[in-house]
Amino acid sequence: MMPFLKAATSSVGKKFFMALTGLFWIMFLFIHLLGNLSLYSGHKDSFNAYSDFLTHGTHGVVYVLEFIMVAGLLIHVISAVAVFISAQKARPIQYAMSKNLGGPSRKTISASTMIYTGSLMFIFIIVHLIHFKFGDYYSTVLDGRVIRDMYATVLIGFQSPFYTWFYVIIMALIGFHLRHGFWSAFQSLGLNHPRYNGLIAFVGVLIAITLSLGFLMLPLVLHLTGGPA
Amino acid sequence: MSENMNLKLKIWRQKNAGDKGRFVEYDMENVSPDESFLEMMDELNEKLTHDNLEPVEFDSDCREGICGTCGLVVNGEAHGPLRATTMCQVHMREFKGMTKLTVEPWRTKAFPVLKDLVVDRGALDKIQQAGGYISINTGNAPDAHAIQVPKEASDLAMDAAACIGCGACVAACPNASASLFTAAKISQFALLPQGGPERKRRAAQMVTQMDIEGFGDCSNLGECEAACPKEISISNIARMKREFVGAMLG
Ligand code: FES
Repeated sequence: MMPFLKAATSSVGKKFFMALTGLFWIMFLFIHLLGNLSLYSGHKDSFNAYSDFLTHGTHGVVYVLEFIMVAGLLIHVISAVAVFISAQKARPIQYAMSKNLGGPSRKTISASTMIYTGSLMFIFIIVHLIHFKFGDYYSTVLDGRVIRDMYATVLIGFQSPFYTWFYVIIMALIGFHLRHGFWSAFQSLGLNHPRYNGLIAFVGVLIAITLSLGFLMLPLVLHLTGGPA
Repeated sequence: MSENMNLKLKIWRQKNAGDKGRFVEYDMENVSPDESFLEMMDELNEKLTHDNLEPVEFDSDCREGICGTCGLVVNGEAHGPLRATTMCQVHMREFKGMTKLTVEPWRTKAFPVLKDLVVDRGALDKIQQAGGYISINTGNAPDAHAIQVPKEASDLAMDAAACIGCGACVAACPNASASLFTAAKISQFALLPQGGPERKRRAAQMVTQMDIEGFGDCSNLGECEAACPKEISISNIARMKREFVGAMLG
């Protein structure tokens, strides 16, 4: 047995935890997307009720989840940067010519831009939190209680073409990140089996498309229509 | 009858490990498509020697694809354009239609260039020495069937053991990771009962050594498998991860 910290920060350990945290965040994204669906309904109450439940209705459980998410994100990002730096250090002199070898290689555009799409997504998360969670505060009354009108924040937020397109572009990049990320996470966890490899790659593409389009449509629809009547 | 080829070679020249190195261009005329790439390099060196110039240093030994000594990056491809083939087994006909070939050494900090196209791959030996063995008492040969091995396991172990340690996986990896090499060396033991007793220590020590040698981390890009002359699969890397996580968790 190796000392845990040494193992966790080794080349294999880093990717192991990067994979776990990545998969955890994919899970979160699905829950987030489900929550967003209530925006499509056009009833501001259902979305506000959902948002109020998250902030006030979970008896603090949400704080635990938020902590896990932030910790997971930091582990993911720090490992990713470490992998990136290791690669730069390992090849100080680049090839004059390089070529993708094809065949069994999985070096796609999405695979070789992970650090860039990831960095943009990281910036996005910060902007997204400032923009919404810590953004403009409007109030509304629901069932006799005064709660935050998150629906208004979202609707007004996506009146800005800048924010809308920023969201749309990042959501498209998420698709690229996940296309390699999902499959890669399985490989990093050692889960590779000839019978399931095709399935894992396929599910990865499916997840990438679902999440990307799912998140991308909403700001676009809200911006173009000004929100459900 | 294929026609002979005229080529411009752009070759990395470097006096010694301390030299900065640079590309030098050479013209080769009337190259037969049926000679091997290394034979073409031999011809170039004869020419250079004849002209009282320093020949280009490159490695080769068996020239039949089994020793793993040769290895060059030609036009951005480790071991040249032919898949599942070492450099020594590539013939000039594979470069049909090309007029310019860029020839470079394996590029990674862990393989310092000794001269021209020759690199020191000692880092791979160090990984092997860190745990790529089994400890047994020598003596009489054991009975052939004293330890039974399932056919599937022995096939997979043989596939992993096909690694000739040429270093093409490192050369082709955008991160210059030695994961495929290390994984093959770990796998060939992990798959067999004889490798069982030391498996955790082996995985831990070989991965640790790989990191110490200064190779990059694996990003699961798979260029290594595409470049490997023995077509060793990255499923071995997944096995290495399982072995290592086993060692990490207890
Ligand atoms: S010289 Fe032995 S494999 Fe090429």
